[in-house]
Amino acid sequence: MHCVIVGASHAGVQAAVNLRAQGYDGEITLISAEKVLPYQRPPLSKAFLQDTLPEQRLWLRPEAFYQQKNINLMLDTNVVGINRQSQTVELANGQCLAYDDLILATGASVRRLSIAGADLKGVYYLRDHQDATGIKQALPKVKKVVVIGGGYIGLEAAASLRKMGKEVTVLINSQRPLQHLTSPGISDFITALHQQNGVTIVTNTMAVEITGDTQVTSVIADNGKHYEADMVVAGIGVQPAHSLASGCGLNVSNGIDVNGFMQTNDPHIYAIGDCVNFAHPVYHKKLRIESVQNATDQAKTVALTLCNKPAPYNAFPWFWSDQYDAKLQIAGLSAGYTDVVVRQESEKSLAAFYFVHNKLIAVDTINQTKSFMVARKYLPQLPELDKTLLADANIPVSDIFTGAPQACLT
Amino acid sequence: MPNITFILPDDSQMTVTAIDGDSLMQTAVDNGIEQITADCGGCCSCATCHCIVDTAWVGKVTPPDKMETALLESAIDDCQPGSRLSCQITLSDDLEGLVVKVPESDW
Repeated sequence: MHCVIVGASHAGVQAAVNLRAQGYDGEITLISAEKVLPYQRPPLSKAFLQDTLPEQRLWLRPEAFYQQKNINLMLDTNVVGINRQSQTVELANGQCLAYDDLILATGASVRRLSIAGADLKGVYYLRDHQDATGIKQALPKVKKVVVIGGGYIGLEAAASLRKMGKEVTVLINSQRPLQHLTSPGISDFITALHQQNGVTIVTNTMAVEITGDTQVTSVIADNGKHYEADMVVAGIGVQPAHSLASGCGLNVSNGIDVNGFMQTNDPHIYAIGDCVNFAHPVYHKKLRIESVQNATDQAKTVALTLCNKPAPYNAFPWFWSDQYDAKLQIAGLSAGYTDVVVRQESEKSLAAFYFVHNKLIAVDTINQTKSFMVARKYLPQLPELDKTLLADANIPVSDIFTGAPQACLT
Repeated sequence: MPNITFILPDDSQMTVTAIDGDSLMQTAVDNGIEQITADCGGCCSCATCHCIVDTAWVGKVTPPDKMETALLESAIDDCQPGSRLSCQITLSDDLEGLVVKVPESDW
């Protein structure tokens, strides 16, 4: 037996690791387009960027691990096509690899700016190791940074660069940071946090041009202002990398379509992680989730499937972000909420609980780890909670959840 | 370079040589102890690296801070006196011979 895994980030590596842990004794080939060992992505915008995490601590596993587990890791290797009839993948060098089962863990690719000047020197994205290393190498000569985008990557980059003493302006093309991801209370807290740390947050503003001869010197926005910059970091989202899947006729919508066992419409091809569109068993809707948790848990599901111990995916989404001294922890997906309850335990500790009517569907917490953990534990049952009690910071959050009625979304 | 013994869920033991300054979590992951998933990579965000420090060693490792305690109390159903998040324990030669139990994954 031969299992070929295309993509060696969190999902691909975890799939290889879990296949071995579950007793898969066939050949495993893990293919990465990148030159470096598979690495953790979250620190790229945090500790790694700030130079507080040495490179060898970025690796998901030490190099010797792959040999010990008999995982054939192929770095710097691009897959250019899949032939489903012959069950082979074609590599850029013309070589073909035969598979019995194929796992696509191709992830997502960064969305690029399409405005004038986007190709100037000094314009960066922050998705992979090369991006982060490029920023780090350029930083000693940089004083002023304009970050384009008010999502997690943009905000984390802003916090890290500010911590490193740069003058940072964040241009956000919406009313508030994290607009599509969180409620106004959390956004306001994040805005204030960045402002207190000396970052300029400019909302309702779109970058329209980047200027400079060869090197960026400023960003022109649709408010007519010029923001001086020696560096631009754009965090404007990603799109699922599904061209290999669509190229061989697999079903693709917003990502590669899979069933609860991570199987595509070809029974020998599976897909996991950021590139996947799947029906979530709790939310009952098709979702594509960009997170480490989703990558790791879908990898576990596919490994169980391939080791003849199938169990459908039922993990619950959660996320985290670190900005300055704020620890954001998020459980569940708040999209579609009808009510939000805010629980403020101190000036620096805030949580927003999201409901569809009486059912809790998600929580965002800032420096309120207990609320995050308790909610994360109970959320898969969509508990019905007393909202007045929840808002009362004097009542322990665990007391409110214990014994709460359970529900399901229909 | 302390030697650390992990007692796995099936009661088998695994002794490994750790790198001074590494976390207990990192040591477990690097040595293929798959029950320690450590989703967040060691930033004390997720509680997927729970382990139980042997009673004899509880007082010798640095005690948990507020954040770790909050995670442990809320996340782990069967929280024991030696329960710790292994990402928060830094290894040094003082911990030569440390014994920790690895429970089945709590998640």
